[in-house]
Amino acid sequence: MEPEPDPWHDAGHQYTVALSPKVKHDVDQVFGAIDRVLEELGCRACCSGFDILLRDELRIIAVDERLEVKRFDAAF
Amino acid sequence: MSRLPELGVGLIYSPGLEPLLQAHPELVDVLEFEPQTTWIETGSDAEPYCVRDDVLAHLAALPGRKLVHSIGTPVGGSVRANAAQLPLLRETVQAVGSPWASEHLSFNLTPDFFTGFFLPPRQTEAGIEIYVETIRTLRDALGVPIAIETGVNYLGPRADELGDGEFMAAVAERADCGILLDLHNIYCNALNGRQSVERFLSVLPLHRVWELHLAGGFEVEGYWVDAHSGAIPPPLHDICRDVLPVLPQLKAIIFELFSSHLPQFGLEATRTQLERVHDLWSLRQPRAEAAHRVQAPASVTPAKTAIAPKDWERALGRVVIGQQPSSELEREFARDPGTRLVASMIEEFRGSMVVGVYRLTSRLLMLALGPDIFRALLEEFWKAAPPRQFAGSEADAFADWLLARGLHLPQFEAVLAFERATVQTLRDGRPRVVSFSFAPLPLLRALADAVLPDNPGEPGEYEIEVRQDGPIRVGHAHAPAVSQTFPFH
Repeated sequence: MEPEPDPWHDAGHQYTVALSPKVKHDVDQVFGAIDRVLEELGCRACCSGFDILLRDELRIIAVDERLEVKRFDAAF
Repeated sequence: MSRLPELGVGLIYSPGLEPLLQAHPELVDVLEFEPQTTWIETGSDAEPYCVRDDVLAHLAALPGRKLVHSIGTPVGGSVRANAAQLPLLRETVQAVGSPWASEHLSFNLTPDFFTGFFLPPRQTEAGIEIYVETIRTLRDALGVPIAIETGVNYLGPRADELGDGEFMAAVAERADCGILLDLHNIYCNALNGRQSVERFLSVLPLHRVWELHLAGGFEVEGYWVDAHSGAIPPPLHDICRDVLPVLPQLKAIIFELFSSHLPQFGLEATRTQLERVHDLWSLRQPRAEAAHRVQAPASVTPAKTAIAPKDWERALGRVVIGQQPSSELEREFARDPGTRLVASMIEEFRGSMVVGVYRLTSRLLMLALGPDIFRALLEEFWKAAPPRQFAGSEADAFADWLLARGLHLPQFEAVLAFERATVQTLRDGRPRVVSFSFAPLPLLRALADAVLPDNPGEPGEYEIEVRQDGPIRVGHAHAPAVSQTFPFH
């Protein structure tokens, strides 16, 4: 399959992108994929305190909103 | 149990620690891991859990001996964990050569729901009888000795329960098992108004302590929480230094750091902690006799009590997952500020499961609706549904709840469908095609950067095929642009 110029702006056609969550020859990507399995699908690890992942995500979004407010309805 | 091998110093495994393991394998004599964090729910009754062979092989190949620290079959409750876990747990123990396995003397199940958190057991004679039998069953199922972990307890002490040390001693003696002495848990309990560390240790059968856990925490609303968030507090370091010489059967010390805190704490600081733990390890005196060798009395019930373990578990569980108190015991729990702390920690865990599994969908919701409304949706969901044990199930339950609620948000369903397909393909390895009615990459890439796109995707018929194996194959798009779209790439 040969690439076409700027395909994502070629409306009306159907494209297929094959992605791999696990790419054996790229070590970082393998670890990344394993992260998904180990830390995000299984049980949460044992910890009798706060998991700060939710707060981190909320903070990322809040910081971005302060830097640059983007109206959702304007974007779509 | 003197024939257990001496393992040394190590860490609880999380993937983010791998650069440290590779750079300093000499600091990691033993790697402890929590098998259920690597498991996936299959949806099959016949085989409800599975673990990917490559994940297990990867863990087995990491530096150091391996220890299995189970988090799914706690032994401090009257409702036993799904027995389907046991064969897989046994396989894991054998595959990594774990000389013993450990579990928590806590509960996380009631007959009706999963609590989302380890909760303190009923510390009475009736409770002890149940827990001892559960420990024996676990030992038989796994085929290796079992050590039970001393848990954290944020509730106030009660007159109708055994002291924490007396309770742990009685269970360990009668079950004839080992003790995983989590000194940070005991430290938390003491700071939060329960038994002092000195009292706890004075009644513990110290010759049964095979393993220590050390960790750091922080203060929340007047409580010291067992957050596994960083450095070992200096007072705890001193306690450890004092107790090590009187633990004649100590075989391992494990430093715990929760993965969410690793980015802030850092690998270098973790390495420093490991070096300090190695210094502590050198203080042990394996041939010394235990300073305190306690034989628990045959019967240790402090007072007659009408609260049976199963009633304790149901009432405490209901209160901490946010149900309205409906009995005097539940109202009593609700008045304890410790249960409110636990309830808030359960909520944070639940929210973390959702944003961890469906990161792009969550970001779309947060950006489109605002963080406060996203949080409000989560809180409504938490009231409507009990926690799930596996993050994938918790995230799916939230997504289903949102869909059933008829949330109308542009592109929400498409992004969710894409992430669901990714997760399902990770579960079963089967490729999936996700269709979009707009060019999806600008949106997905922007969400990976935690922003909304500058321009909406062009309308049209687009598909993304999600596959588990093989190299990235991109048609009609640049590979780097695609790979940047996915935070796990």
